[in-house]
Amino acid sequence: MKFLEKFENLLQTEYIFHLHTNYTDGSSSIEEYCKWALENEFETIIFLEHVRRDLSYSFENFLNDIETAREKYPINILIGVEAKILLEGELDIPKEILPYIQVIGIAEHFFPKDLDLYRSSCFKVFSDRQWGNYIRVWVHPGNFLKKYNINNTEILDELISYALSCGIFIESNLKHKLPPINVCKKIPLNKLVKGIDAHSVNDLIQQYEYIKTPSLSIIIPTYNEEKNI
Amino acid sequence: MGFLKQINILITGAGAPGIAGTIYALKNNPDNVNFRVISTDINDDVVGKFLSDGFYKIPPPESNDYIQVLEDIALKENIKVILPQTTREIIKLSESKDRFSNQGIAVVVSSFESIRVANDKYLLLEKAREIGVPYPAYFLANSIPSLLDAIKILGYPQKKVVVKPRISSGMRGLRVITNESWNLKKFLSEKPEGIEINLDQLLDILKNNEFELLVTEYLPGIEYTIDVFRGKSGVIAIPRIREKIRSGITFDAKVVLNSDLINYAMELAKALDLKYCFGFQFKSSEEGISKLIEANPRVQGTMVVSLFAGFNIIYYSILEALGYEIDLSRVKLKDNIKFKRYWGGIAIDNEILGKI
Repeated sequence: MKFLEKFENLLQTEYIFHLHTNYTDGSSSIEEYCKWALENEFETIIFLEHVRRDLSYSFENFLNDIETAREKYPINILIGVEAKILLEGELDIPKEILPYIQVIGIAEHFFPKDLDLYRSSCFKVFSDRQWGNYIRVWVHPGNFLKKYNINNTEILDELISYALSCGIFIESNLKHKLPPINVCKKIPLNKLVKGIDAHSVNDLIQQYEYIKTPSLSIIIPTYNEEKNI
Repeated sequence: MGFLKQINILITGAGAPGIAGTIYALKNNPDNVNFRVISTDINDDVVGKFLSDGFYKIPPPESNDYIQVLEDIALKENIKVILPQTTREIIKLSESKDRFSNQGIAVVVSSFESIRVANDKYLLLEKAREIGVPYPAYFLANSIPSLLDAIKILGYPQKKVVVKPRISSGMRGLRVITNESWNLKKFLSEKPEGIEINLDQLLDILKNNEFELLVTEYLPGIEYTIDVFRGKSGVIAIPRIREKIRSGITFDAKVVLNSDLINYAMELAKALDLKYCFGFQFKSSEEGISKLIEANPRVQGTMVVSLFAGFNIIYYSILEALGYEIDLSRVKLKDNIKFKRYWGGIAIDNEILGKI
């Protein structure tokens, strides 16, 4: 499991995690992000582009653009995707792209209001060994609970505990302010990924101070402030 | 320790499986300090009685006069240090450290709070989670529905699931829930593992009773124990593989100086603020990740192996408790040391006739 250790080490450097591009609902291109990251001396940039089983864009073109950016900008670029949890614990991800990605962002978009189903689906996705060879990050954890105004941090805490035991990293998502502070505080810093959830370079400029801070220890206090992208 | 000629020590749990190893570690110390060993146990006819210079039968630690009896023995025998060996005793003794200290007697035991957390398997895993040490997926179940919910999440019946009491010592209360049935091949070739149970049997035992069980992911891989020393001058952690285990006792061990396990042990020791000698047990998951399963905040049964690996953890814990500064700067640990137990015994007819 050296790749997980490597990712843990990466989290101690200057990185930008969770970027959406103009291939989906973002407005900046891969090149624009990479150029900005290099100019601002970041070591790593991790794209987390939306995917679903029936892709609405050419993943091949997306990969080609990343390859071009790698040639042009001497910066570590990781290819990640954000896939939603489906009912009964599947991930909405096309199998054909799996050989090309390193990071899977597990998300809870569009889930029906069924707490038991949500809980069991999360458990199933987290323990599913087919995703075990990827860096897995649970992004904006608790989005489901927030969306349906379910104030149950116990369930979220239980799910995070389970996810961590399965080797999954947890995102502290600046945009959605998730997970809630009291839950976030219980997550070990070496498993916490600060996520910008940026849709444009402008989002990065606005959050420059936050993403530039090398120490993970400032995640929680910063995230507690009312900063919106 | 040239000036230190003799230490009078009281070792509890003379019937504990590790007693011979503990006494061996003390008698074979690098400073040639002579140990006068007084041992105790709640039973009279225990093997440690015959390996010690003196022996007392004492009441169980739950008894109101346990501490008083121990104190009386310690004063009578001019004891300078008490080394508890059993889980049941350490919590009691940790509460009474000051009482013994006021009599000039050191107790080789961590603080009450450290032991409370380390002995509670649920709180221990919570601590592991907090500091980022790998742990098995776990749930606390206090009802049949919550137990069934937990085992389902953990993959039963396709996967085995482990249940154990929050607080217990050794393998007491540990069970592996499995629906694997015995066939002729298994019947003829395998020894029955006493820890396996099927779900119906377990539910039958639990129904109409109050219980609190830790339900965890089953870890099928290699089991490790890490012997740890933690003192004022630092930490030494010596992992070893438990290659053969019988009734919870290590029979074949091999030292493996795995840096991950050493780091985990150091982080846990610090987070729990454990002191002197203690240990942690890890087991590997299907994916090969070593995950924490237990803490033993006391001398471990096979801790004598550390002596052969280059650092006599038991001996130095005694010195640490007595206030000596331990120099760890020159410690050189040896990797791949093997340790094999064999069946020994003592023949007695009022006096010892022979030791095998």
